[in-house]
Amino acid sequence: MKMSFMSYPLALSFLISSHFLFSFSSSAVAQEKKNCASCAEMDELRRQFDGINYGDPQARARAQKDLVPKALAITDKLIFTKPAPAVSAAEMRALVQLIASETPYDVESAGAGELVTLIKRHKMESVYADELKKVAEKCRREALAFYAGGRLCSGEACQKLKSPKNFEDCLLEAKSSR
Amino acid sequence: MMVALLGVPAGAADKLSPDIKSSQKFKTKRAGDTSSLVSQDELDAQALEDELDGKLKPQNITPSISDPASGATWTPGVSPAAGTTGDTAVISEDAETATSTSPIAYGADPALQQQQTEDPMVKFITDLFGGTMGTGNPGSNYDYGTEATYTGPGCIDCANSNSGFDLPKIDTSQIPGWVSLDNDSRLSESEKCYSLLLLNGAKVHVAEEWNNREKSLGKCARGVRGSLDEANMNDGVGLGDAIQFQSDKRLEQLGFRNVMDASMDPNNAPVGSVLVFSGPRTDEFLRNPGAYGRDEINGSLVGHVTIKGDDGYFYTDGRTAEPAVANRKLVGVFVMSKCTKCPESMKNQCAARPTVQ
Repeated sequence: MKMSFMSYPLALSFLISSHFLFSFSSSAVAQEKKNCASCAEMDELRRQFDGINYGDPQARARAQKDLVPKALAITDKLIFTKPAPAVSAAEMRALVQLIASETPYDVESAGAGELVTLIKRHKMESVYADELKKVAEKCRREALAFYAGGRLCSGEACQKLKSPKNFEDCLLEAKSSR
Repeated sequence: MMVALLGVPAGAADKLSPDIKSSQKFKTKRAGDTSSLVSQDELDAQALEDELDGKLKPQNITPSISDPASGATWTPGVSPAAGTTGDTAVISEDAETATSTSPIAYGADPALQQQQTEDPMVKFITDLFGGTMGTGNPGSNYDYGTEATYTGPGCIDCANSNSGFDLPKIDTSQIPGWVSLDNDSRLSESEKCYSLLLLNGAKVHVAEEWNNREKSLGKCARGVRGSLDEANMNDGVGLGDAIQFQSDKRLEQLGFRNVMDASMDPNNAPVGSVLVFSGPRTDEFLRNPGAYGRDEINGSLVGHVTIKGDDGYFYTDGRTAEPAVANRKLVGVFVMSKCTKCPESMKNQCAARPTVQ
């Protein structure tokens, strides 16, 4: 389609405004993260989880033994410290990403449970829902949606929850469909 | 299986996810009708009505034994027929027509049949149930008595099929310290009998109520209590949070004994035992349980509880490959010893057996 002469300024203004909007939102996220003391620790732990080959039983066992307790120590601290510390949106976002990475190794889905405690306490359901969509890996996203969603839901919403596949099968399926 | 839900249009049930079908709201009706799903309230009302009418009858169901090597399942007293497919033995209404769907047709291989007969576990079950699977009618070897309200251990094809998560088989011979139930000298024959019944109750309950999902979802105490109910070792009474199974002596009141010692871990704990774990903040919780809101109570405070399976899995509010997360500590290993709430017929079957010396 050929663009009319009048459309150029419109397109240009759209490009400029979207550039500014993007810059603003990314700087807002950066600012949020700057104010989040524990985000770096959570991001680092998430990277360690993401670096594990789930298909390797020994690596998986190490994650269960060493990394899961570290993730639970972070959520425990946020839940049980008295007086209860404030949780910023950036902190909650980092936490959602961390627990999405932790859940496959957590046999009690305890991390998801503690995340839900914090979501409810700080009324951050919308931050959780928004960040859940941003969990890049489908299998982790589905697992967290089920194991956190199963604790957040009530009534009919619980019945609509779809069981995720066994995590290993999900990964294999995702790999083969790529 | 065709299912019909009360108040749900025909066919709609098939569109529901397995989780909904197995949710607390709907439960497969057991006695007499396994083809419809009814609300828990109706089920309870029906159970009460049946009890008042003295109609309760034992089920045509018995525990089964899985062969880890072949993946086949054997049920005492059932002579599997050859030429069928699948992986479970199915008990029909008439035990005479019971068929095996095992890919290994025991009936077709006399050597295997002989080996099966000599298996100590098979012998134990055969002794327990008198060698043949009856129909539950008076006079049958599987007659639990007319006064009994015995409804467990439940349907074996429920217990052995993956209604939800298809988890891989675990080779128990690779688990360090693993002791099979039949070789476990720490337990009396009576305790082995109870452990097997609890385990079968757990398999049914976890498949039906929790869809054999691969993780616990914060309802471990309810999951284990449901298994105890299913095995007729508890009568629906709540047992509190996980750690309270031990700290408040809830399991001991039901007739369990704690066999925990310094050498015990989840790998070498007896099959069919109830494992109680504390969390990193359990001491704080026990000092003042009332200090926490319901939403705050989690595994860090109340620990975890699960039942050790004979297949390498653990049965809680899910069927998990690991017993608990790593920061839990095993504090109690409970074996049913003198069941206080079991029906008389069940006690007679198990309690009359010799005790451990």
